[in-house]
Amino acid sequence: MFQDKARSGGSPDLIALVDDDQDIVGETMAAVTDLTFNVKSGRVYAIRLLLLGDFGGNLRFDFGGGTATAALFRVGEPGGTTVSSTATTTLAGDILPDTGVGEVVLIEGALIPDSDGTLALRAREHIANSGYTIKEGSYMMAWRLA
Amino acid sequence: MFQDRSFGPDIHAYKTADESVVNSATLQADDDLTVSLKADRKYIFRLVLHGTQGAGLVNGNMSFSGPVNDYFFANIMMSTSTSAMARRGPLTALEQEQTLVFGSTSWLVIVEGAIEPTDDGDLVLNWATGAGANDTVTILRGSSFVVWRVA
Repeated sequence: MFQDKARSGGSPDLIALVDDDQDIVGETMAAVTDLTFNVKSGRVYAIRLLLLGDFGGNLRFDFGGGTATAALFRVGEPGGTTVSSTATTTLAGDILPDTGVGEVVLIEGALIPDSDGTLALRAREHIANSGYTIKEGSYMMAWRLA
Repeated sequence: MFQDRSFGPDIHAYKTADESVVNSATLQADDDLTVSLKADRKYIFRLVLHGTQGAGLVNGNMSFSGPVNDYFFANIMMSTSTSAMARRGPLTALEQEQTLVFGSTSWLVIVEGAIEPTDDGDLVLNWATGAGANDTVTILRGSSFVVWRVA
């Protein structure tokens, strides 16, 4: 399906932005503050996240922190020196970025909710440490495609 | 912070003509890929660079220059000789240089990131051929630099 929305630059429809650095401590998934937005049942979204931090490959992520449920959900994380994706079909499926990913993680995905609610990123330590930080300016955005 | 289509107009630049650098590892400002930013606003940006290099496979180098900022970071994805997209960087400071190993005579580089300037100023793509290179790198007409103001 093709649509020309006649909007300069293809602005994203939804944007969530981390306002302050936040520590991720412990090996239990916990909400990443600010990285959540509302989605509607039956709509089709392309989503993209760019996360800056000091965590290297030592954090896991999922989208199990929101209230929406998904008829379709798929994400990938192109990291390291090749496009190595960690794909999941459930919102609470772990995403473990490539250990070579360094300080920025890119996550791309698609979502078709089957209930209205929130999409929310969570994170936890992959390798126990005294805590890692997700930096101010990290973002999650989505384009509504249908 | 969450926004639903309430953010301001996009800023964008694109290359209106091919631009080549021959045998120069000194970073220089791109002729077109510059955007003007305002202090204390938050932006997300994305560059899509289409390019070529000579048969000597000289590779390239890039960085940004721009206003003093509260934060700047970017992720770089680029084509390789095996056709897979590979990750380079990341960039966590404006002047940080990144070698681009194109691996083929035609290439694609996608840079995406965020910045919160604390001064007004232009965010500029700087680039050059690889160090010691003796060939040509060209960024092609149509390459783009799109910025969304998000706060």
